[in-house]
Amino acid sequence: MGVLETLLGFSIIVWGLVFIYFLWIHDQIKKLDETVRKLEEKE
Amino acid sequence: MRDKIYLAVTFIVNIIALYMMFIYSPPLTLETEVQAPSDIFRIFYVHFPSALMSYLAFSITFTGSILYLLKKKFKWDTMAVASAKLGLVFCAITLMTGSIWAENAWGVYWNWDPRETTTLILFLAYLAYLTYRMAIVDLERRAKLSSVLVVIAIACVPLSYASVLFWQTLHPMVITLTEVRMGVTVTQTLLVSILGQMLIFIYMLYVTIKAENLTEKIAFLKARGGG
Repeated sequence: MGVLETLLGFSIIVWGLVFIYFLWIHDQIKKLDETVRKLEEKE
Repeated sequence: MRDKIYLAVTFIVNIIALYMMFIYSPPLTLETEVQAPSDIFRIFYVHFPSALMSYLAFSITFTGSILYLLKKKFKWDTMAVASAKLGLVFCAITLMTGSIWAENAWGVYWNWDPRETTTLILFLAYLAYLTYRMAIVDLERRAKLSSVLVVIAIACVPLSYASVLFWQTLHPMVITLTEVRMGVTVTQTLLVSILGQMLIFIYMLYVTIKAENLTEKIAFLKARGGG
């Protein structure tokens, strides 16, 4: 595998991880929002 | 809706940056290298913006910590910790890309060059900051003590940047305080790459602060007796 392919592979992995992070954090925010709503309802 | 437009712009800018990195910019060599022009130079378009973003993130952490110490408002501490987390991610990318480049340019992944070493110290200092926070349960004490730690750790940022001036180094000095040793194509590609990473950083900071705020709100509600 050449240098160019390695770099392209590395870039795809980095941007892929960024994309997964965005999906994960949005999911986390949804869950946290839901927990806050439930706790506020309880009070 | 605004979020979606922002993300679409971020995506487009980063696609343009990738195009410029791999197609628009020719294979180049840094002036400090002796080998023939190589594609490995392209890693510079990820390495430099990541280093810049980590410096920016750690500076935001410092600002947040100082504001917390002055105003005693938790929102500044939340901003500081969210930015430190992102700073660590960008610092890790900087170290990884630097090592890949070093293997091609110097023949080894790691050779304790002053820039490499000081950047590793920077990474470890902020890792220590986040670890230290996890060890303290009391919110007020945690915010206060970790803010003081950041005031000490921030010294690693100028140390990492200026290490190439203080010690003999193999690290290329493409951009100094007085000059930019790059051609037009490289400068254009680098600027678009910086813009792409900056847009990602801003959005990451926004969502991370949002998640941190919600986590603290849950802790507060539970402590008040809700949970």
